[in-house]
Amino acid sequence: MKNKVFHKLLVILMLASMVLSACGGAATEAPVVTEAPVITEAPAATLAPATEAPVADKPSGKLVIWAQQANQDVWEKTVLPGFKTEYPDIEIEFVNNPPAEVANQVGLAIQGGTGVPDLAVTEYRSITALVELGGLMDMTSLIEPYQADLNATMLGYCTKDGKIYCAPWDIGPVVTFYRRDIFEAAGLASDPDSVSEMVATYEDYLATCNTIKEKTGLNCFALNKANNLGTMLENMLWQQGLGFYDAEGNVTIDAPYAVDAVKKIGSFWEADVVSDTLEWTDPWYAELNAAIDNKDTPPVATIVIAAWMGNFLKTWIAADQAGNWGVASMPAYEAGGVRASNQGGSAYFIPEGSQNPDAAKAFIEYINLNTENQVAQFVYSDYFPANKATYTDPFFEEPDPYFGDQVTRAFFADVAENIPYGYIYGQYAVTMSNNAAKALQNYALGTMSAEEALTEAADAVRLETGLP
Amino acid sequence: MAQAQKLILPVDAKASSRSLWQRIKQARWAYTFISPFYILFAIFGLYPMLLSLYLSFTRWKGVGSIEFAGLVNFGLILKDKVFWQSMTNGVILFFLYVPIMLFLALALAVILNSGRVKGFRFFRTLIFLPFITNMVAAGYAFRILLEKQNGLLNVLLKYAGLSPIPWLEDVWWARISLSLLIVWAWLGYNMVIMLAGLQTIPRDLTEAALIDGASPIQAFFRVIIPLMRPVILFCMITSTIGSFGLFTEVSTLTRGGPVNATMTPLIRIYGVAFGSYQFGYASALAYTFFALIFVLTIIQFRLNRDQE
Repeated sequence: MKNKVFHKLLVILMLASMVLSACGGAATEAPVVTEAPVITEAPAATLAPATEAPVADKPSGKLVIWAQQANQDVWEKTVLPGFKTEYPDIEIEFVNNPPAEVANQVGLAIQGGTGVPDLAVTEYRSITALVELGGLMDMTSLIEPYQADLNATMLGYCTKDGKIYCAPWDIGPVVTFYRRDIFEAAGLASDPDSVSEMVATYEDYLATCNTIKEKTGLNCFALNKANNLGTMLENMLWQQGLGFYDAEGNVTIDAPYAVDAVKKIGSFWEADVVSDTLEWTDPWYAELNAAIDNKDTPPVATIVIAAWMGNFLKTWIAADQAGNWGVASMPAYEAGGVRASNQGGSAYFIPEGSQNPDAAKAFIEYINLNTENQVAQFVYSDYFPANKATYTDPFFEEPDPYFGDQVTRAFFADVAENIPYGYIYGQYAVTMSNNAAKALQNYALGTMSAEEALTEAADAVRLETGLP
Repeated sequence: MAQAQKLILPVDAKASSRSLWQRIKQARWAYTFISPFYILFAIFGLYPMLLSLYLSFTRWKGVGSIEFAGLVNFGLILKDKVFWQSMTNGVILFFLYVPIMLFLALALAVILNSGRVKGFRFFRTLIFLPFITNMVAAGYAFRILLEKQNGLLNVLLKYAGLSPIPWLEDVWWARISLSLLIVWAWLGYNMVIMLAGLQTIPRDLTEAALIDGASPIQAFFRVIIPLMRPVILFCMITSTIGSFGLFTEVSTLTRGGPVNATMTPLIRIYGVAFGSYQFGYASALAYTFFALIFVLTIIQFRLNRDQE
């Protein structure tokens, strides 16, 4: 009997430690990611310094950079050799991770008080939380001479109490990509100006989608119900200068304007002109790359998304459709409204614990703030620069063969200048957009009305963030 | 007399404390050898547990000052629909996969233990293999298999003339898909534990039952299952905790969706801590979660004892 009691006690103790260690694990473990490969650059110590300044004044030593692999590729293929010649004594070490992980792990390192990188690059959505939380180095003096050149809206996300904590690299001006061949098959004009006219508002966009569906049987774009990511909702709010919260920090996910936007999205489901394909999955890529007569995977006619998608379409999503895709303006929320919004983009930041802030600043100045170097990266990568001084480069006026020789880059630049400040990014960006997306899913699946779904989401955000 | 007692008592206490110290000193090498575990446990186990207990009464964003908040966090939990939904999901998942998994594990263990299966080591390894497969890789593989339009399962259904199933797009199918992944991954582990349990049951007992005229099925239900009760209970309790504590499986396969249908408490706690940087509230959630699981486990023990 005694043995039995002891046995039970032991099991309970074991349970307690199992459950608690599971919780402890959740509080300390990094989320599920594969191990980041650490790529160490060989120091370019043998190269002779190329400039007149004495070497002793230049930053030197090890510079640990956390970024995604794609960023590293861009630097290595374009401007990094020049940087190494300019700063022969800086030894760069890259640690690659997906964008969300970069911010997450920097956040953890800041909280832990140790192990931060010297410099990091990631998406605004994640950086803005760090800007608000603190723990990033003030780089106002570095940015100030270039401030007029940088996109003011995106710089706004880097700024807190008048101090600048990140340096914008690329931005995501939103446009409508459309299939010329499908528009023609539907008996519609297919030049960019006419298409921009056809999608002047979301109501016009819906009418155009209806025509395309009637004439060709094809869907207008992908708008998944059950796992919707909420991108369309974010666009609609951002382009009006609105968002999930307001300037005073009140949660506005349940505001009348959000209800209106959700219902507007609903009109596309009701009209049955969209596919149920989830973004960033193989079937989605297939829809964007399918030939007009593909019966197994019917193509979609349009996609409203940021400029960086142009490069993705060109290189790995829809290479087969070269010449068929075109670029037009995104729809305005209401007639005469703003036809610009932002999706994604990234910036450089230096955590306060950086071991080599001088080298980090030198890297940002040379790689990111130097106009010529920024253009070189844009030519290679199509990451649309936040540095407006680049827009006057002749490269922006070159026709793009993939888009039927349309001059797309100057067009993107015009959109970029008009991006309003939307209240989408911020300290609770991830929580807010997740809850808003869930509301849209509830509405799409018919489990709740738009008002109910958004009220539930807003309440959840208020509870979790403590915001009013 | 009283004085004498007073004199004796401290001496006694001194003697016992010396003897404890002496005992420790005597066994100093034993303590030295087991100390690494306790040191590591204190740093990585005990300290985080105590810190999060403290944090559960505060508001803290991970950096900056820690603000004492009393019981505010625990009050919020009562209103936290997502957390209660995640607990409900844990219950639903438990009923979806635990009975099937444990029955399959026991049945497979009995079959492999019967001595009639040729190459049983091969099958044992085969069934255990998913358990040592990396869950992130497995989760993504399942995502691809269960994909709505071009996933292998739906392609096969299409060939069979059936309509495709929205594996990850529907509230209930998403839970079933998740259960499939869990059964696939954890069946081998439970089977091995059951096998170990079976090997402690003397063969004579089943043989005697068979000689007395019991059918093999009767012997299974009347002899093996009652004797295996402690092992089954162990598997059941770990699976209960497991179904509330799912993390990797969910974050790779369904990410908590659609509409929170597969959100588990741990995913919720993680989201609050590292999505919203509310470490105080997340700690309060963690301790509430612990208390709930503790109660659940005690109920399971009681139920088992009543049956005995």
